[in-house]
Amino acid sequence: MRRAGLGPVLLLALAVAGCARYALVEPRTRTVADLYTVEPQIPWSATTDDEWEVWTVDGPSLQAVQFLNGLADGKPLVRARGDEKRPVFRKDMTPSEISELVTDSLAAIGARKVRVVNLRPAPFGGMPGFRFDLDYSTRDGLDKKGTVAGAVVKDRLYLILYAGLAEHYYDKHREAVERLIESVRMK
Amino acid sequence: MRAARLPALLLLGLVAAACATPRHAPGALPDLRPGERPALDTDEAGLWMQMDRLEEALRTSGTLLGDASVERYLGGVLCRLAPDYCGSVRLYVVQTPHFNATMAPNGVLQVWTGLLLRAENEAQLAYVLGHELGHYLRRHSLQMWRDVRLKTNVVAFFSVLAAAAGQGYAGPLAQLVALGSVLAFSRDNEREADEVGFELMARAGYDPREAPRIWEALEREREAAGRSAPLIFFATHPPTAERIATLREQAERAYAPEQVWRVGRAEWVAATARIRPVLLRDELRLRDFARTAVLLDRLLAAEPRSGLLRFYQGEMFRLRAGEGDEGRALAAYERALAADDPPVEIHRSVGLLRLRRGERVQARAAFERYLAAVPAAEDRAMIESYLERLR
Repeated sequence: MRRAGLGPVLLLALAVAGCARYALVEPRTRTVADLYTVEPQIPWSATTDDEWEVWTVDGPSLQAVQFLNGLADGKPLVRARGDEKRPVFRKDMTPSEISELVTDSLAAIGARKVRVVNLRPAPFGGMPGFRFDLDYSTRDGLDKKGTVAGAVVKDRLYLILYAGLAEHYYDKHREAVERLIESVRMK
Repeated sequence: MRAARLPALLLLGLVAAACATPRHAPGALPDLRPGERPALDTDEAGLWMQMDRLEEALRTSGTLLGDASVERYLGGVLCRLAPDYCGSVRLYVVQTPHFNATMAPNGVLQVWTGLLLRAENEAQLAYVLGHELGHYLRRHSLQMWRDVRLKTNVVAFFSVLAAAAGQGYAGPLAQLVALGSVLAFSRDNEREADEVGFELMARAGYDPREAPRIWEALEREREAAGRSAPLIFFATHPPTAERIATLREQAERAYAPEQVWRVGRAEWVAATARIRPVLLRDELRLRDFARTAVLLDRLLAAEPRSGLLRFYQGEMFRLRAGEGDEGRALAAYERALAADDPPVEIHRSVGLLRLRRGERVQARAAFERYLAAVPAAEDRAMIESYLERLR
């Protein structure tokens, strides 16, 4: 029976090994989504996954900064599998609804007991934006923490989502991510 | 209740002898005895060992609901149904919004929260649990496993299982389904399990007429959802017209009007009340609005005064956000506010919709009510910023 569970995981691992190309992000000014710049404090390894740009130090399942680079109206945050339906972004969403979009999308890809903490207004590169933190666990029962910064700019959704294992890995680069979010400047 | 203490096996024997269908299909195995574990040198022990490993993974996974009082309650129903086996069956409540219950050969019984949201009373749950117990007692997994092995081999068995588990289910569900043996049991097995489930529930005093009712309700939901979104339970338990008709016949035969039957509606409502908001939120997260609409209509027909259900009906319209859904959502919220115990988040939802419609005064009033009701809300700063804009 174990093989039954392992099959898809193995395939996924192969797919990841075959596709993911990591590039070094050096600690100097970098343009994101052709919309804004950030100033990374530490070197990261970057790759892309659909609309997302993913930066990590120890591996994306341990901790990762994920940039959502301009999701259009009517599009889902995470790709649907087969006939499943996914929550979609609407350009008139309030930050409350966007936080709901994020939690429900995380739940759709297997996150459990997702909870939004401290949803608050916060400028995003000088634009009106929002911040919130996340608590959830993985399907394997590991606790994760996250923090999100974002804004809707010209009807598109931009997010910086940092998530990592609650034990050690999230805190390890939390400060670097805070500086990264503070460094956002519109081009 | 002396009858309930007799070994279930014996009762089943008596019951089955009275039925038209033979108790065991050809090639069937003797029933599993209470507390029985297969001898170590058998293929059955090998199958159990695999399941024991999956059980270990299930136990530490993040998928369990983790509500001790609900587990105790369900365990009580299980023991009432099959007193001699309740010591050897381990019940796990898996938090996933699909309707399902599965039974692994080693006695792992999974009850998915989508079932807890959909059953309307204890008797309906008892029927489903009884059906799963039927597979367990009759060793249907072993039967299936031997049958497949005769025709192919072990590797093929597992790859078929893996393929079936992966078909149409999200990743996290695949393993859960595998643990419960996703391969459809044979039609004979299903009929036999239905028979056992039905007899167990009736013996325990549960109103037998509830058995076909849950099938009928699920069938309506499935039709609404269309082919695009199968209910997982149906993948392995096709609700054929024949099956529903058979259950109805059996129910009518077993039902004696002079007997006091247990439906357990009040017990069911009390036992599941606390987890219901979580289950409804999980259901909405699927964004399968057609099926959710049918489900909520059915639940509301039984509880027209439920502010909770009416609120989630409003949430469904708000999230669907189609033509006219804002108005539908607001109407549902209004009815919820006039009903019993609407959850406090309703004021936030009303505020968000009013805000979108530019109804400033009403938006402000709703947000103020929300903050007054939940002063320590996690989104307090955000709501205050909306209020700032509305001033």
